Amino acid sequence: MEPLTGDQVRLRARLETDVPVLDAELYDDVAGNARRSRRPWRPMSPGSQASINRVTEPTDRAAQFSVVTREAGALAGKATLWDIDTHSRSAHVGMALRPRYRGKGLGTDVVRVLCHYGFIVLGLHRIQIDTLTDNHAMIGAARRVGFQREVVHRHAAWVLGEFLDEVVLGLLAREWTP
Amino acid sequence: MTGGLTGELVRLRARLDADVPILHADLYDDVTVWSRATFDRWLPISPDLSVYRPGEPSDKVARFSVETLVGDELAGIAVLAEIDPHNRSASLGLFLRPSCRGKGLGVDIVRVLCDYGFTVLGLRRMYLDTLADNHAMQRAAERAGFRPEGTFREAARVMGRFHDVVAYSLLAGER
Repeated sequence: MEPLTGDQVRLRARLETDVPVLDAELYDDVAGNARRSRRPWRPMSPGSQASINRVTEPTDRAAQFSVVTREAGALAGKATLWDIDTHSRSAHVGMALRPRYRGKGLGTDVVRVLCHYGFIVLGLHRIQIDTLTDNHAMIGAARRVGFQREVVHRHAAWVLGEFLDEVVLGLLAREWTP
Repeated sequence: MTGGLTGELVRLRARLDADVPILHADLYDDVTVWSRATFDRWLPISPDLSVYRPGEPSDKVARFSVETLVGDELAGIAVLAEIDPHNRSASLGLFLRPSCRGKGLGVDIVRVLCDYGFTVLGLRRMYLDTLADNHAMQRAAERAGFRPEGTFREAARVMGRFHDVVAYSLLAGER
């Protein structure tokens, strides 16, 4: 596999031109954001430095990518390896696709490329995915890449008026097959 | 709970300067036990810069010293961390001095931390992660009513080896 390129997508650094698109299609979807984020949605003006999608300096704790289609290079969403822990050699996967790019199998491809980055480039031992137990698209993508269901956190997320369960799926470096 | 943060055997109170050298010597400077308790990398730190120094109060974390009711002896530390007012949850942890282990103080501390989280802070979910072979912590959690949620495989690196970590939680109303 060409580094950071899957069958359908490529991961690259965030560009300024990505930010308004991601803010409009991901952040400003209040219901979708409530399901993806552990923090409450707040009204945010265009260009705000508070945007979770803004371009940031590289850090040791998180690797923030934009997802683009492999052929056309069109912006399809975002992908993050977050809470990178160099002592335990572990990290968490985060991902969100623009609405028109969902349901096409891109998610599985994104998870695969993030695993390549985490296990091969960073030398991690373990990668985990935390998501709501009813997020079947994310769980399906994780399972297809080989992640195993490990933990269910009861009532862990406040989502639009109710507490929902979260599932943790884990994959170890030795279990991963590119 | 009446008055302060008091259980049957212990009370929780703010950190005092006088606690620091004792906690640093008994808890921090035991490299193996500290590594097992925190899953974090141990680094040499002078007692003057101890991780157990008193800090300003915070919305994210509540750090306590634990004192025995009989004898007013400093028994260790207790902490409510990752306090999350949106999801109304927090994690809890405790760490006892060697002379205070094996006496049932753990379950009492867990109960008092839950009183603080559920009653004082209005949280709905308390959780803790511990090594799969830390049976004392798991027994304390279970006796306080916590339920197991699963196992993070090889999630902690402790003294050169990867260890499984087990997750427990207690919801408001389950006590």
